[in-house]
Amino acid sequence: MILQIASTIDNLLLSVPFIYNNVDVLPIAVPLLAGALMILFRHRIKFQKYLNLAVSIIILILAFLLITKVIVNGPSAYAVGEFGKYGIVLVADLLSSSMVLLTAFISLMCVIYSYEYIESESLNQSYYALFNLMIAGLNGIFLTGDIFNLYVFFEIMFLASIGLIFANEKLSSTLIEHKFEGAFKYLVLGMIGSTIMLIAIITTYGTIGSLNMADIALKISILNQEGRLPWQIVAAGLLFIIVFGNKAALFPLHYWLPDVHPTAPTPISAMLSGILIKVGVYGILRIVFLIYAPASSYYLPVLMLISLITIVVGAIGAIAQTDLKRMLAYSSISQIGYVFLGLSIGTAGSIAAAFVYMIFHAVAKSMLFLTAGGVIHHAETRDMTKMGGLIKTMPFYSAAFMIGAMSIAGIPPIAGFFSKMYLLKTGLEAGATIAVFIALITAFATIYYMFNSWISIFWGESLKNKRFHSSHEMMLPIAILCVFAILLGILCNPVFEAGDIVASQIIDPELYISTVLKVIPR
Amino acid sequence: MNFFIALLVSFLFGLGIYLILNRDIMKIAIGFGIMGHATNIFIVASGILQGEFVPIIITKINEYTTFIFGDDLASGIIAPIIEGTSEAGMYADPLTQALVLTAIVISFATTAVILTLIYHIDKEFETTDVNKLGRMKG
Repeated sequence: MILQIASTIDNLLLSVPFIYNNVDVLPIAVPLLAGALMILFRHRIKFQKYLNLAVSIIILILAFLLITKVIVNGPSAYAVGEFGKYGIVLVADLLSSSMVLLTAFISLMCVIYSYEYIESESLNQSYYALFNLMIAGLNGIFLTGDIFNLYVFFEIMFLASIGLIFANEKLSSTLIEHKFEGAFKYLVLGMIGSTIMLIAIITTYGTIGSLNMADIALKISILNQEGRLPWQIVAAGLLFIIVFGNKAALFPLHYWLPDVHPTAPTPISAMLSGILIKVGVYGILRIVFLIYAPASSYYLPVLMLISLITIVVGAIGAIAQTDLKRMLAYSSISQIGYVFLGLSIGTAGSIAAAFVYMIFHAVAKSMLFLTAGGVIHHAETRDMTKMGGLIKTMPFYSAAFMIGAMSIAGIPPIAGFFSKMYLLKTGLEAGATIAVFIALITAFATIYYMFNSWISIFWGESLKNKRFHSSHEMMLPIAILCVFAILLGILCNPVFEAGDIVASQIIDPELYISTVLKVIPR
Repeated sequence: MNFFIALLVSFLFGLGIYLILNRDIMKIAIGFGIMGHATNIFIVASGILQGEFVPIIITKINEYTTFIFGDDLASGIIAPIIEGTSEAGMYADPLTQALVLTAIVISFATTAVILTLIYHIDKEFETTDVNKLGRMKG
């Protein structure tokens, strides 16, 4: 049925050839243009607000059209300019187009939430422009098929997100020195990461002589078949894993995340925890299973060990926190460990489970952060021990937080349960018994810290506070995300089917490579 | 890669990392600048190749586009090398020079951001010592 709907939409789209032919590049081009326009219109407040909303909706529609095109016609490649494989190629397979759709959806929710939440001065000066640049960077990372272009989009996304961390909230409970310190850590680690990434790119280019992902993958697999895989290739892949592991907050490089994500204003925290750490997962999926696929036997055991440590460290950190947003940030670390566990087991089923886990976690965690923003504004503190009794004054937020907590902890009717169960099941099928056991034990810790924080926020003695009134603009995105968290749980079959297709495309990159090589002659 | 260039790159990297491990955040910014230069030299140096093939397009026009791509795995050529012989036996790959321009622009932008951040930290707290700035524990 989904295929029928998709092909109908695809046929409709064929009548607009400009959009149909360029739908691969438009999700990058539209926010880049919008980011420039926002700076020009920064004195016209109302106009800027509606323009930004329109741009976000347009990107969501474009992402939707892109994924229908990919579902109907298979992966598509788009050559920017006519430079063949020395130019830039954009590749949209099911993984990247679904990541673009997820980005567009979560960012639309965050934009609607921002109107009421962010202080008007910083909202009008730079917030919209930087937000659009960040979206352009994210879409670029997901769609590009060229590793140097990946680096450029990575930097665009990174610099824009630093600017966004400094946006002020209306009723701020974050001290400016915390913002400075968090941003400085983020900036320093990001700069080290980009230096390492550049070295890895140049090492690969100097050895293989190409920057195109599909071309590199093909050449490395040929070299591997001939039995002369250069040792630098393995090292370059490891450097890439360090860079993307830093973005995804894997264990030895996780300590910046609980400082940065909570100090950012809430919609940006939701973007950082919902989408930006998934960039790391996406990158490592591409590195391990596409580009350096012959060397993946070196990487996967290391990744599994690191992911298990990440799960445990994140859960312990989350249990110890009294600060609401820091608790959610530590929970993000722990959950990203689950995604990497599925990735590192390396069978088709477990990669599908990791993909589904990633999507469900993005929906649930961004909803939890948005809810936490409302709660923090109401209670005027981020300390959970000073909150209490909020269920009387904000019943909507307590229900939303409950649904999010159930999804993260994995309680049956909500989306998170199915992904967690599928992940553990496929892990057992692949024979990773000890890893699954550790993950299962930590899942109990997840239940503890999510519901313990819910109880300490919403039950107990009530606070009397009338300064903050939650508006519809803040409640609407939370409600939509709630509905999605429940619907994805009840109707999770299409997502799992998509996950299976994604996993089969990842495990066997033949389709990806042949799609790219059709566009770029060798 | 030339031995002395390799030595220079490693020396600059060491200097950059030494400065990054410093307590003063201004020196951290300078360290990143030096490390960026080391990376840029590394990029340019990796494009200097020796051999009998030059990266200049002479023959074999591809039927799809008007550009030529001829890397030949069978004869062990895996760089972007097009047929033809250079006279001196030494040539530079033009693509790395295009890459280094982009890398310089990006490192310029990140350096601008970190210097702005340091300026505001200095104005707010009147210190640039990391140990005195560390307020977030746990």
